[in-house]
Amino acid sequence: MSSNCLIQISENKIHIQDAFDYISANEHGANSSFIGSIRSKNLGKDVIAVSYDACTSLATNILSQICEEAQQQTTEPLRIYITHFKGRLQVGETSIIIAVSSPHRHEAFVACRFLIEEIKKRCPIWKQEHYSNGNSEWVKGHALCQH
Amino acid sequence: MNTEITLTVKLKGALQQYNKESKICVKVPNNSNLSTLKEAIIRALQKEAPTLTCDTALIESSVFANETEILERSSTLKTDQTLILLPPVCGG
Repeated sequence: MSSNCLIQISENKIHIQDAFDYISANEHGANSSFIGSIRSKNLGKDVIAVSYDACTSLATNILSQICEEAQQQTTEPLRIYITHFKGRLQVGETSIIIAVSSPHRHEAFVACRFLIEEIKKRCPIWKQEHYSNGNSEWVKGHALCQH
Repeated sequence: MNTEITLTVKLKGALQQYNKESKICVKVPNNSNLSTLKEAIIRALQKEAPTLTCDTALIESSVFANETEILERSSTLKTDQTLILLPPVCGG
């Protein structure tokens, strides 16, 4: 993994300040972030919580690949922080934080957007929604690419 | 020389609803491909939980991995091992 990239699949509460502490660099004037949190409605159902399942080792490897790809898209240096939660979260709690810094804003925005879109398509993480009526359901997702 | 090998397959995401332990053991002929392994898993899940309608489309859209990488479609199975079956993902 690059020394400018910190990746975690964590069962602990996510602290946003940790992300900004990591990406902070004197030569970087732009900080961009994406924070995902649990919302109370999905497809008309009242969500009370979400459980995340993950293949931790494989997910970490794939996140590392995605970070390398983000860096390869620009000649500007990036610092990248990604933490994805594993376990159960209540509505309003944070499931993922992606933070990117770079010397200028364009590269930070582009990398942040690239990272979240690729994570949704490629990272082996699944979520099960829990509803106010007592039912639970696994969310349909993106089929992984197999070469 | 063994003509059959034993695969332990961990089930992730929505596949866990078909098996309480979230893993299943199946035997397949040595040198089987991943399609043969999927067929064996479907048969085994239907045998274990006959009252559940096994979502074969979900299994068909899933891919195999080990702890570090997704296996290539052309992989053949030569030894007893543990694999993971990954259904479509939805992180974030």
